[in-house]
Amino acid sequence: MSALESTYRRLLRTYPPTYRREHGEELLGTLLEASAGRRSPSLRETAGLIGGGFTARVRAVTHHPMSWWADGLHLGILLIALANLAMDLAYAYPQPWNGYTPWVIGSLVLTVALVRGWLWVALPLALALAFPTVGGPLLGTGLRGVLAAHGPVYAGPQTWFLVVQYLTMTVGLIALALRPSRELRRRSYGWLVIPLAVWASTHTYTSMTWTVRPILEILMLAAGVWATAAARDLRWLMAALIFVPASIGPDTAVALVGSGSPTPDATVTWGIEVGLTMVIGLMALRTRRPQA
Amino acid sequence: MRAMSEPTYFILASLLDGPLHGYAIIKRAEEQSGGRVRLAVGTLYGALDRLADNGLIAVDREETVDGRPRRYFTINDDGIDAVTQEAKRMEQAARIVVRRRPGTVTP
Repeated sequence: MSALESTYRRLLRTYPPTYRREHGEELLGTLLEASAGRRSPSLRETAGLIGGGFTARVRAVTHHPMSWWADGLHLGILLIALANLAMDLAYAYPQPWNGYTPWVIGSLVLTVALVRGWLWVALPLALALAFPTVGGPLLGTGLRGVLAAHGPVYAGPQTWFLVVQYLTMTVGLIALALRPSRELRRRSYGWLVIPLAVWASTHTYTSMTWTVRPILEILMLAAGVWATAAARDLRWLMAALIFVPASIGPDTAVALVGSGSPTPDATVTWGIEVGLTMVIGLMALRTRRPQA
Repeated sequence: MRAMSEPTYFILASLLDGPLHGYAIIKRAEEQSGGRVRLAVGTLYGALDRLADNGLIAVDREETVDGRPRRYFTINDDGIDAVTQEAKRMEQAARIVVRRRPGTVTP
């Protein structure tokens, strides 16, 4: 096997396994024909394969039997859980065992269950986590006092931040459980790299976390724009419509009622997130145009 | 109707004379576009998959060459309609400019 063929085989790993099994050898033959006389792939072919592999993966997602709205709802809930886990992990550092440990374990198991599509693990766990989160602020200080030791934040705007997020996750999971087919997509454990990377970049619960989180959210929404442009499917719009309001809505509401004021950074972040969601919507609506 | 992208146009146009395999489409599109459209292999197969999903082309047959499979793609009626409409749109747009005498400017 030539060095060129080896390189192409490695690049073809950007395609989903099913696609590689069906068409990998054909693509390889065409690549070798198109690269006759070369010893290494051109930048154009390399970019084409990486883009083509991503597109094939995105298109494979749309061929899943799960309906677009349910898959988008599931993805939106997963994004909320991933973003929360990125912050929750900070509570397990530097002392892994402390008063917040049950909350962190709950957040981790909920996220793993959502990644793997274990609906009947995720739903009761989301309810269990939502009860102290939502119940505390809504039902009064008595319940809050009892359960506060197991939750990270129970005062100020962050309370409502968590309330909206856990309500969204719980109601969304109930909607998914009420479908005739309760199957959820099983995603790769690789999704867990996202919160771990954020946690590793911060180590402690500092203002750095609040810098990394918006960047992470914007990157995920940008990936949603690319995926929607490649597949012309509504599921990423659904996910963004679940994730963005749950992410920026509470802070926006607090700012609007006058008990807080958004910083310029936060305003820019919200603007970018809303703008990217609108771009996803525009991309999703352009479904009938044949493109190369 | 929105304009078709140039690569899509030349992929469909390359199939008007009969079924072709991937590398032949790349060569034909490059020739017919005067060298402007040089399709990367990953881009080409992504476009072929999308055009097949949209019902504009289909797989005509599959052969094995040097131990590797090779699909031949054919354009169908919807594909011929789409590329023909695009050609007419471009012709109409071009006529506005080409029919003018050189050097004339409309006040």
